[in-house]
Amino acid sequence: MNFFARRRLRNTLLCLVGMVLAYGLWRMLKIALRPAAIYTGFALLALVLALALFNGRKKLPFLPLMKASSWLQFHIYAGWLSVFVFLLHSGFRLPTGMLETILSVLFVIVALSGVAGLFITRLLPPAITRSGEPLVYERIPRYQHALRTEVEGIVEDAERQSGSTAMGNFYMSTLAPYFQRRSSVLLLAGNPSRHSQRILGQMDEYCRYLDEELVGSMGRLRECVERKRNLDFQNAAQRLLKLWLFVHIPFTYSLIIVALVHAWVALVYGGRL
Amino acid sequence: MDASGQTIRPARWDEPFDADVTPERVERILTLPPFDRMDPQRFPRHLPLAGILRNDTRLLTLKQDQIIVREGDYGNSAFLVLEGTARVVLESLPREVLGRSEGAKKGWFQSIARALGTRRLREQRPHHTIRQREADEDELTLLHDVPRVLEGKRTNDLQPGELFGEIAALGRSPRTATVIAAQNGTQMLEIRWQGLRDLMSYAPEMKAHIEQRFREHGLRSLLRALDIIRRLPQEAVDEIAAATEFERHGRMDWYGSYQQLLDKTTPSERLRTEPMILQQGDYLNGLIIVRGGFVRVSRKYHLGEQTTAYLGKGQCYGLKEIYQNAQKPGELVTSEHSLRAVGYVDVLVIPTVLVERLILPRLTAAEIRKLEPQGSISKTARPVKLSEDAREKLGPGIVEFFMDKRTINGGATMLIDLDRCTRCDDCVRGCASAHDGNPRFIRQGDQLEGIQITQACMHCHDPICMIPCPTGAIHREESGEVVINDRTCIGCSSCANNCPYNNIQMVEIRDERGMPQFPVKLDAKQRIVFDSQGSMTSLSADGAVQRATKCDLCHDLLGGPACVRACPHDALIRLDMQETDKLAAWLNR
Ligand code: SF4
Ligand code: SF4
Repeated sequence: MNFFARRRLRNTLLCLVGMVLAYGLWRMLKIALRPAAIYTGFALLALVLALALFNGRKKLPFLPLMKASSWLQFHIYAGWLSVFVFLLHSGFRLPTGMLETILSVLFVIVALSGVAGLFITRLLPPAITRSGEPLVYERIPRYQHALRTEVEGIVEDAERQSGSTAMGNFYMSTLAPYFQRRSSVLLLAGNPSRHSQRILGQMDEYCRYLDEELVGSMGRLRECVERKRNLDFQNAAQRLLKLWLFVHIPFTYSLIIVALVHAWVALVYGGRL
Repeated sequence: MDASGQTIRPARWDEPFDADVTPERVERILTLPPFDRMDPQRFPRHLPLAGILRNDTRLLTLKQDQIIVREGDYGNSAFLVLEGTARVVLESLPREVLGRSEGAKKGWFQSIARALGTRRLREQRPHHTIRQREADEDELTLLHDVPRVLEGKRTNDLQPGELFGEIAALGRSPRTATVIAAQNGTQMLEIRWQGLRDLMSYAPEMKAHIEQRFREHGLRSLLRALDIIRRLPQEAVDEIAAATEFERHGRMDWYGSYQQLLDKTTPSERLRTEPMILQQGDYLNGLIIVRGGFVRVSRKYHLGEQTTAYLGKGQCYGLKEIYQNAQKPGELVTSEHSLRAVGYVDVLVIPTVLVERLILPRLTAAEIRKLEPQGSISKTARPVKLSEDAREKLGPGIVEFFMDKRTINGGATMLIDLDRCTRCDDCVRGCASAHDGNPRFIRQGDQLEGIQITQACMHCHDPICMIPCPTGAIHREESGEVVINDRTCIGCSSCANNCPYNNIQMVEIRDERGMPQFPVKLDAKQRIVFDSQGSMTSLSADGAVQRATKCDLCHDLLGGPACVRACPHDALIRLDMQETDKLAAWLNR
């Protein structure tokens, strides 16, 4: 078993043990007629605060506070545990009342975005690596501009040399929209190569009507289509790798604020403050 | 092309080391020892003795207490005392006296204070003040308060005709002692390694002298570092030291042409250009020990050659073959592999007869087991760092990739597993926050099979960047990191130009307001000249003041490299490329 498999197994077991313990305590509190919701509520709040500390740790990399990867492991498995404690806290029932509903919705968004983030960060990097030439995300608009200019140059050269407008027409109708478009993350929803495959198919089709020289230019354009495919994929994938955090982190802060209000309300109206 | 139709290429002696070494001065030097004993007839016509002295040497006239070499520095010259006295300090001097950085790790509070005080603009420094570069250089090479610093320290005075620094220059190892000028006007002849190498080639007395000095001063301790020799009695070690042969392969200045070679040739072409140390199928005349540099171990594979491993400093090759030949004298066992010099290699060869007589009888049972025919290659004499079969564990292509990029030189190479890297740049931000907001590496680099060799200083085993530094600002810490002392760096770019991996960046430094800092003018008494508005007179035509910057492996941070600690996805590691077992374990996580 390799390092990652061993670590996954160990942490999963620890997490399951945590869940069993939490369930046992919850049952005991229930049997003893103690206010289980208060205890589970505080446990949940503590867990969420501990989970949120991960982002704080990221801001202090120069302090010897354990490696960020260890924090991430804690974040992932404590995250699963917090989902379980949330279920215990809610008594496995749907929320009632405005505050509880908002709080539950926020929790679900944070948890789901976290799970989505986990899958995204595990699945996309290998796909990016295998996609082709490595690209720096911030420079993608520049690469795209350079590629477009290159394509226009090839088309202009071909037109000039052949004296025909065949390439220009094809460029205007088919290639220009493709090369001008910046991909969105929705590209990842289906087959990320579908656009490029369609364009390549149309190029093959169009080659029937061209002479040998223009077919040569088409060959160069095919390489550009391949580069655009890589560019689109990397743009979408790298953007998604950043975007999910824009959901996860702000909603976490909102969750903490609403949770604190909820705790205060529960304590005050429960006559404990 | 010149008029005769020949191509004119830049040649080694186009630029002499020092234009002040005139033919008249060479005449005088030739009358001094040891040159007066050399036979000029032995030198080839294209490399005359006078030509070597004229082009590969430099005359230094030193002030009293001026440092000639610093302990721990890397240099590529030897020094000959011509006049006056050079004082060798036989004991270590404090780091700050030698212009080293403080070295101590920052505590929690210092780290927090530094983070809070992080400058918002890039490369801000307190004003470099106050002196011109030349003045800086002089000042930085002076040992201050000598009576106090040398109090109680053992020293040795070298007189005219005595040579020093040649072992470090030729072996590319750090200087073992600090040497200063003991009198005003002490005159030295600095001989760069190219000249020294040629003098050794054509003046047998020079070669004998240098080798004898190495045998006396360095060889025994080097041999004793090997497990199989450490346990031998003193007389046996002495006998081995007396018979050990020295060999050099490749070019010491490989790094100059390497980038071109990378651009223009295929990996197999590059392999063929590497000088052969031992050919597969040859009989082993002795045990080969790598003293400096790297050796490629390869064997024939179809029509080409497959790299199976590499050997670094202190590792040896050939014990298995010698052992098997000794066991079955009738059956000739030849080398299973070829050995080639990667760049430049310095090897020691212990003759087979001595290995058979002195080393084999004292091998342990465990060592012998590894030498039996089914055992694998490259039995290393020091703790076995090289994996049993690096190729098997590392996977096809990876060993060759690392060899080809010369990454094997790295003592702390940054590798990123691109299958885990989310391109979040937390590593870059981590590095920046540990360095006043300035990241010290670029998250890009060559890649193969999802592994990226990232562009960060590798803290090389053979740190070529250190060789030309005039002030010793770039140095190796005791813990191994190659570090630049920002206070003593004069921004001459020598290190950056010498780094074959382009991992040192020259940056323009800025003042507190974010304005570039320029050299300032000094008067005859070395005081700053102010203009009528009370500002320092800037010499902006000289260009802004620069400093060399690079990864320092966060040597002053408590937790170690911030990049490694900042990566949440276990994608980034710093690895000693000689530790192939660790490398293989990381790749196969
Ligand atoms: S070790 Fe430190 S200085 Fe070097 S790259 Fe990593 S964070 Fe930057
Ligand atoms: S911190 Fe890790 S995952 Fe993020 S960019 Fe750096 S190496 Fe990649």
